[in-house]
Amino acid sequence: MCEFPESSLQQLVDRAAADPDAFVALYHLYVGRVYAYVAARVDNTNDVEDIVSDVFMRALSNLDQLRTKRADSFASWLFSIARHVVADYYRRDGRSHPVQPFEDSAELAAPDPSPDQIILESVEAAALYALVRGLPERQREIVTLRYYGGLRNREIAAVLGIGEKTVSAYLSRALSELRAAYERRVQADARA
Amino acid sequence: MNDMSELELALAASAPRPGAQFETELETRLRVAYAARHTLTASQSKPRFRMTWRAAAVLIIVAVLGVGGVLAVSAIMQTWIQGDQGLSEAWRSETDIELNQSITQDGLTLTAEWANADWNRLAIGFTLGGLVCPERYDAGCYVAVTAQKEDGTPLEMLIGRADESDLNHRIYLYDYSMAGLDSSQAVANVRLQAVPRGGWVTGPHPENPSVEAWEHEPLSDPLVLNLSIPLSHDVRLITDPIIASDQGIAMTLRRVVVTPTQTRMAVCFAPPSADRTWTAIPGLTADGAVVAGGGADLDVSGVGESNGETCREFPFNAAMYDYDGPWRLMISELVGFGPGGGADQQRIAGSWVFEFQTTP
Repeated sequence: MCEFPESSLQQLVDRAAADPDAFVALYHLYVGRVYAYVAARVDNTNDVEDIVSDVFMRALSNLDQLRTKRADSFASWLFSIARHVVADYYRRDGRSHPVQPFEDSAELAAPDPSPDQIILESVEAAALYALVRGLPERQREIVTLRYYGGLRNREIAAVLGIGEKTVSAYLSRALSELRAAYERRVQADARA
Repeated sequence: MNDMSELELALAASAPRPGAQFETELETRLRVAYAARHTLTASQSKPRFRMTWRAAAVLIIVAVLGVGGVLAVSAIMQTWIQGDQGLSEAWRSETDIELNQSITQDGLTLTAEWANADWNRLAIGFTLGGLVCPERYDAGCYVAVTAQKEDGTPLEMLIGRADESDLNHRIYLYDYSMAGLDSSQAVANVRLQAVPRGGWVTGPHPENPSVEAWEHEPLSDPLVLNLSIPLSHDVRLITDPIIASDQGIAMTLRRVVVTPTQTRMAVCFAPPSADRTWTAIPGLTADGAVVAGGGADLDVSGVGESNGETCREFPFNAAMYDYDGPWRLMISELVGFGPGGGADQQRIAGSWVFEFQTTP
């Protein structure tokens, strides 16, 4: 996920409050990850874009706050903002999170894979994405923070305010469920 | 590489990506907001103050009634205004108004700080102070806000911006559609109502146990402000239909409304299938340059559509009222949403191009 050298990243973070180019560089590093995290939790594309915009606008307006919290990673800080903005989105209109049943979501986006292909060699992004969206809320959040957001387990723990071991446990279970669900789908296709 | 790590790689690869146009537009907005932030940082100790006739009237009322506070627009609100090309133009040209009208009730203070209104949109900036969320509300507290016409009919909200980082002083800038307001009036008379609410988690959602269900209740009586906001009557209107066809689908641009803070384009088409809700992906250029501030998508009717047509209206929050050059609206895709939720889509790529010109 994050291939940017840690030291260079820290330099960008240090400069971001006074240097617009540094802030924009951070924006480009993270916009895709924040977008993916939000899109996995919000159905409407327009709403996703509004939320992502709001996340970075809030990040910009709170840059000074970031400078006083250097011990925290930029990613944890940014995704904490994203998490709050998504929560506000659901809270404002009393919406509930749109979670599809696990099996249904797999069928929705599965574009007919070859039945004899082995799961992990043939996995299609759309089908896997649908499976992720069908995970229970907590698992989905942790999976998307980890694999879409590129956060480490300790960073996820900081964002969610839970222990690192708890994050590991959720991840392990979610991966098992994802794998099992995909295998079930491949087997079902093979029978068809 | 073992199976699990390959699954993890595949998971990372399944992440949805933002569109290039969205990413570029947001960068532009961030750069504008960044510049405004630095300007604001330097001038925060001297908040902007313009003694318009209405502000003067408000000041007199404040003096007489003993309500209100410091006449100024919050720094964060200024950042939002500057980050919106249409509203920043209203700010620059001083067609906006600093209201600073407030009401205090049950320890809560609702303050309308700033507003701007034209034929397309009404923007209201307001704050809510004093809302302390009791611990029993484990789902948190929020503010339900509506803007209503004089007869109580709610206005359609277009977009809301909120900063709740200081829970004791929450800041909002909401845009509402002016469709339905009596635009013949010199002012927009609007009732702004805020109801603080507290929520608590009741357990798993009965229809979906993976989601938390929660209930909420009002924390006070509604806080209400009756606002009179000067209404700009600057508008350019095109209602002569323009037709474009592709993929066997005819699409009609039926209405263009250009006001100082927003440009709206309404397109209508016969839905490719009746079992889906259809919308379109627009891109707008003016003299070859991308018009910023798009992204919203409104359901609209009464624009001269034929029987059975569906119509979508696309607002762009850009200051294009003084622009006299050529426009080009291109619809690049139709998207039909089915009953299965956001992932249940049928997409039809094409090129429906409308070229026209507005005149003074």
